Order: sequence, then C-alpha cells, then structure tokens
Amino acid sequence: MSMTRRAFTLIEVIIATTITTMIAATVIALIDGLTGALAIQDLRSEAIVRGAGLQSHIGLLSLKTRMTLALGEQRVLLWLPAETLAESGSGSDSAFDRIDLVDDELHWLEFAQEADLTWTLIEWTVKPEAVPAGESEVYFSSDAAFWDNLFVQLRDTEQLRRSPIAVNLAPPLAAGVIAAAPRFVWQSADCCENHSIGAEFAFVALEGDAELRSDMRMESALAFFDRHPICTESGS
Amino acid sequence: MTLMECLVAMVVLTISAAIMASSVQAGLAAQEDALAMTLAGTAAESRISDYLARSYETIAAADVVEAIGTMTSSGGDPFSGSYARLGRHTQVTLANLTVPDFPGLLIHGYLIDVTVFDTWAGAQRKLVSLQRFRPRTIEESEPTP
Repeated sequence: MSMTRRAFTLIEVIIATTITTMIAATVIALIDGLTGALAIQDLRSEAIVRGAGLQSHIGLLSLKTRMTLALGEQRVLLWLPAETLAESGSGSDSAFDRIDLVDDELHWLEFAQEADLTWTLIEWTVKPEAVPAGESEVYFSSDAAFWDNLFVQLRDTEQLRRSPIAVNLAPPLAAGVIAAAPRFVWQSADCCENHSIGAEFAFVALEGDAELRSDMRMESALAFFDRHPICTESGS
Repeated sequence: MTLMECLVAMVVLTISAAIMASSVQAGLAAQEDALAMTLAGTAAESRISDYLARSYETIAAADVVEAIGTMTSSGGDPFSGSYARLGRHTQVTLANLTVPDFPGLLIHGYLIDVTVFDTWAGAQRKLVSLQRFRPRTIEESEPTP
C-alpha cells in the first residue's frame, strides 16, 4: 500500500501564521489589560479596606476624645480623660485638672515620613511602665508648645509606644496640586473651640509609568466635647 | 496535531481569555462603585461632623446642593482629586424627636440629612445617604421664664 503525504502549501502556512499572530496579539493585549486591571483592583481594595479601617479608628478616638490639646498639620494631641468634667467638678485640685500619664489619657497622632519617602500614620501613647514613679502627673495646659515639648521629651526618653495605624500613605491632591505632606484637619485652630478632627492623605500605587491614586479626606466630630475650665480662665 | 486542530485550540483559548477579561472588568466596575461609596461615606460623614461640631445657635435650616466636583470642607477647602466625581446635597430642618418611653417629651433639634451622589449613565445616582439628629442640649436651651 502506498501512502502519499502532501505538505502544506505556502498559502496555507501564510494564512495559518497570520491567524496565529492575530490571536496571539489579542491574547497578549488581553493579558496586558488584565495586569493593569488587577493593579487598579489592588489599589481600590487597599483604599476601601484601609480607608474604612482608618475612618473607624479615627471615629473611635473622636468618640473618646474630650478635647484636642495641640493641633499641628503633621501631629495632633487628643485628650481622652477617664472622668468627665461633670463627674470631677472644676477647680485647681480636681482630678480633671491633672492628666495622669499612666492612665492612657494622651494620644498623639502623627504623620511621619519614612526613608522610602512614604508616610506612616502613627499613634503614640504613653508606656505606663516607662514612666518614673511620682512623675506621672501633668497639670492641664492650653499651651500647645507645652504639649509639643512634652511629646519630644517622652519620645526621646522612650516613654512612648509607637503604633503605626496606616503605612505607605502619600500626600493628597488638593485643588489640583499635590500637597507636600498628608495633614490633619480640624474645625477650629483654637483647641478650646475645636470640636472635630480629621485627616487628608492618599493611597498611591504605580502601574508602569502611571501613578494610580485614591485621595481620602475624613473628619469626625468630638462626640463628647468637654470644654476645660482653663479655657475660660485663659480667655479663649 | 493538524493545522485545523491548532486553529480551533487557539480560538478556544481566545474565547476563554475574553471571558476571563470580561469577568475581571465586571469586578473592576463593582469595585469602582465600592470605592465611590467609601469616598461618598467619608464626604457625608464630613458634612455631618461639621454640623455636629457647631454650637447650636450657629446652625440654621438649610437646603444646599454642591454640584459634582464642587464639594468643600467646613473650612472652605475644596475636596481633593478622587472626590471630583462626587456631589453632595445637605438638608437641615428643624425637628422634634419623641421618645416612645416618655410620652409628651419632645427633644428639639435639627435633622441633618446628607446625600452624596455621582452621575451614572447620564443620570444622577445616590451613593450614600446619612441622617443624624442634633439635639438642643439643656445648656443650649433658652432659660425658662
């Protein structure tokens, strides 16, 4: 039995090569599109989950905060006393006038820049075990510089606990311009009058040469604002 | 494998890739909506916080619509880039709150209603709607004659 095998003609090979090339180009374009889409998905997932987490954290802090004691664009101090003004009364000897460092009353929030130029939102609280005995009480002050000095002193003597709340943050886009840094926002720069706290920042991812960003701005009212008597005494 | 089989396989592969891409695109669209709703939530909460943080006497009845891309903070700062596709409707109305367990008790205050929207297929789409009641506290009440 004789068997004849016919080879592909040139035109068949050309047609097959053309079709294969077209299909391959389509698949590559699809995969490229998928990669970009997945990068966008990652950024959005991050923005949704971490944004909601941050909103929740700031909301919880603002629920417990009675006053803001210092307001700076990259660092704010929240005061979370255990007792209320109504409970302790006013007057220089009342517990409300003293802040106990070992009683978790002070929470600093800070935007700090890392070595890779990204920003981290940090919550600083006092480490009770690191505070020397007999040095845990601080008298209330409406002077922001006093609290800034106290922060530096406590941080440098390692009496503060550093808790990163959110990492890899970027400055937000505001009025068409990228800001120099993420920042805190508030209702009034006067701590005795300020009833809210918030933050502006962005989540950023790189997709090839393109920058994908999601800007966030969150604000929360101090639900149980308690104006300290010293504000009235100081004329604020 | 014949040339025909090879071509059929390539066509099947292309259809599979197209189906996968379309499902990812659908997921992407859903996720875009989710992010828009998250941003809308922060924009609505921001306006509610603004009203809750004000002293009672500075609150007044209002019906304000901030068109898409024109939202501002309480301090007048424009909301940043990602919020450019959102608009906001704020309604503040005088209202009395009743407490079911205390018949006759009326709590005076303002009802703050904030809706954040965008446009979808040429029509306005409501993303988030928040409502809070700002009561007038005893300290803020007018003294009884």
